[in-house]
Amino acid sequence: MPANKPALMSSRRRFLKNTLLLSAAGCLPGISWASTTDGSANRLVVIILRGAMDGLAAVVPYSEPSLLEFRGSLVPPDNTLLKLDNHFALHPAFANMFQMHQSGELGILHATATPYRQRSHFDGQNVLESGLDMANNSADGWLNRAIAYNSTQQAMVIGQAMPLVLRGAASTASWSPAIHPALTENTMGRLTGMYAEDAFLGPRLEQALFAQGIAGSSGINTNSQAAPTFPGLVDAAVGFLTTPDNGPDLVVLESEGWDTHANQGNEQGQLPRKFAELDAGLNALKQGMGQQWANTSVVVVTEFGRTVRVNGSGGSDHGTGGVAFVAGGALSLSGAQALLGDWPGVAASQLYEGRDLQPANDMRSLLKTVMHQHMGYSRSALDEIVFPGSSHVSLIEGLYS
Amino acid sequence: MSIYSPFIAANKFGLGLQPGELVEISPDSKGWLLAQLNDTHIVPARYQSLPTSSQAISRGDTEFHHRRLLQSQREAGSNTSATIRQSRAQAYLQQQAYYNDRLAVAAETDRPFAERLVRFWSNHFTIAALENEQLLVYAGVPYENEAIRSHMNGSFEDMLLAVMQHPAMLIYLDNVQSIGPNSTAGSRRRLGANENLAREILELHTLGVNGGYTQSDVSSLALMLTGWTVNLTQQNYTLRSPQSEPGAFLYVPQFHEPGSRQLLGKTYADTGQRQAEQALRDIAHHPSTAAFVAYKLAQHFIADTPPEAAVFELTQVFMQTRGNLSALHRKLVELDEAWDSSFRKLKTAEDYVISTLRAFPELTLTQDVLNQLTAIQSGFNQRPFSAQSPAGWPEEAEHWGGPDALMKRIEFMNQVGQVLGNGFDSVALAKQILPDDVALQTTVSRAESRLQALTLLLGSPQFQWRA
Repeated sequence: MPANKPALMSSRRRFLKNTLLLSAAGCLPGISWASTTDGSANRLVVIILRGAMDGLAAVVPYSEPSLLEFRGSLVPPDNTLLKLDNHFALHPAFANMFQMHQSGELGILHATATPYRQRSHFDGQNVLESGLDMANNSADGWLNRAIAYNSTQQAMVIGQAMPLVLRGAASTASWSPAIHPALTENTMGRLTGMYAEDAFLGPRLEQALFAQGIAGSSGINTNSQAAPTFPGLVDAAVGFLTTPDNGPDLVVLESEGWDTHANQGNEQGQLPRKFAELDAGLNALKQGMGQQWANTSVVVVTEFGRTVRVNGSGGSDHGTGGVAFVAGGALSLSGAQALLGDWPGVAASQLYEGRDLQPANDMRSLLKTVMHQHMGYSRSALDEIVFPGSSHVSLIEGLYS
Repeated sequence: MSIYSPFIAANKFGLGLQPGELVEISPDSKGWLLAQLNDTHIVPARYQSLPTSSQAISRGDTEFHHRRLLQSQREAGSNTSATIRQSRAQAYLQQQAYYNDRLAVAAETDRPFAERLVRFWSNHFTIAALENEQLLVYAGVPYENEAIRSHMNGSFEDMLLAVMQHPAMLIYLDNVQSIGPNSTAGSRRRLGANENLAREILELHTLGVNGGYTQSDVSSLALMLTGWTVNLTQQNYTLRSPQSEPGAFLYVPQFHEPGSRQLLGKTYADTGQRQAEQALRDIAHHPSTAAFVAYKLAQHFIADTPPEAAVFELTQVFMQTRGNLSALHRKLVELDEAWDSSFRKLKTAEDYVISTLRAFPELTLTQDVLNQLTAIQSGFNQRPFSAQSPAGWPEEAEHWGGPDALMKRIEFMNQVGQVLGNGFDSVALAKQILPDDVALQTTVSRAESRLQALTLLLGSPQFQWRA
């Protein structure tokens, strides 16, 4: 960890302690999250889809002869598919993402997986977020390790709970719309003093105050009675990311409800509604970022894929190979190429353990490419610290110019 | 000085100290806990008018299908939108009333350790009444009472069986729709098994993810469980079995996959419904189950990363008593590690709301007050029976104590202060509910107002931890 990190933290701590009684909690001049102050720094949004998105429903290999045999009832009618080439199509709910793909702003990594090869959501998400080879319940998150290594970048989650990917030695923030009126500065100042003695809770309260300060000064909708929806989370993320001077560099968003064991639908239904929500979210991100979309990358990941065959209740069970997306104005894809990486096929003889899409592409190749080429992390840091033991996992060519 | 602190007894094992309780607990903190274990199965008086699980599920089922009918009429041009909305709103309000009772039970109970144990097991065997589980809208508390509470003095095996034959669990983890591919119904309609319940039984309820099972064990258990379903309304708006109790467990032989099955190296002959029963009884006594359940208990009551010795001792008791739950609960109280104040647990959002309520025994729990507090708990993303995954609510402080969650707790406490604060002696309260802490008492006593004093006391880091 570089030497300036502790100094930054301790000065922030001291600053908060000394000035909160005097200054408004919504306005804390002098603290900056971002690595640059002119709004041109690159931004990354990581969207985690919990429950295992059905990759074969999202990006349909419609030319595969066995597809209709294995999962005919889950495949939308051919004339509704958004065809990327003669083999692959996006689900019809992904209208905006189809446009992004056409203009080289969306990459698709199909048949992808983390190193995890079992089928537990919880261990699968643990590996996805820890960046390790296997599930480890005392692990920290890969994004946190990256930040701990590179002190100039700051990360936050939009939501109440801190996801594993952001947990660890580096202090990270979280924010969601208020549900109760704010405290007076006087009370908050006293509480900050009390919390300073608590090694676990103290730094977290500081991060909360800082995020609240930014939200208060950035026109983010800070009040909400209802639980925030995914589009609501995206709006807040845009607010933070476009804050002049001190917005975060990296934002994590989470979306639940992808575990479609029953009645997932084909053209319409439960899963297509989730697709439409994701599609609208990415579009809102693009529109909201405005000019800064050109400096933005988004990765959309899920813990694993689902069975190739439909199950007895119109759904799919836990599988292996799935889909990850990368989007953003910072990408320079050609638009002509449907997929990044290799395609293993879905004929019976090609399936993993006779039931799942083969994990042909290591998901870390995508994450490492974005972290290296877009966020500036060195190969050695990525190979050894962020995704330890991954030096054999190479980068994806052609994502960025 | 004895290690058996009354604060640990009430705040860490229990649901939070109430003013005045200290003198009652202090003479024998350990005995106070052990005495509660005899009555863990008693249904609290507040739940007397609660429907049975079958009634609750049948009502959810009927109303869901009624809304479905109204929806199809709406699509055909009738103006039924308002009726649909009203039906959903009424369901939500009724659910809220049940959850209010559940909050009040925790706030009022004089057996807080017993109640916490019930909630531990109810979370171990989580069900969720989420938006997409409309059949379960009323089922949460009846499930907790019938599948969990009534088996608290029995064995793990009996509780496991009760849970897996409970209609709420069969609906929640999709077993109602699981049909053996070679069963009478499956071969006719080309349907197959759904392995969701089988996988979560092995991974989350018994052996644990590293407990030594394979994908073939999951598939095998799923096939044995085919036929275990619930008497629900079908597509044609009639009950699957009109002569049986609606909303209750139903074994349908036509769904059951014929044939013997291998699970963890043992062969189970096809005995119909009893095939999966026998498998579950065996799994319940597997050494991996003992170790997994012991770990979870220690993690819930001692520390996020529990001391290995404590887990080992609980595992031994599980094995020696064949999963006797009273013996396990007793052992927990007898572990020195459980009384060691250097192990801390952060309160969950629900714990935080409950312990706040317990700090104000004079506050009358009207429906209005309970409505607000249940809404607040929901705002903290911990509405009862709404965990986003079948693993239930997480244990880790990292989950519950992130920056934003912490800020929301403090803001909530400030609001409580607005309601209660004036005229309230927080310095006296501090001494009644938290271990002696001069710095905390000084800070509270120097507050600029009584309202602020209350926010400082209950918003303090000390009150965030179960200690």
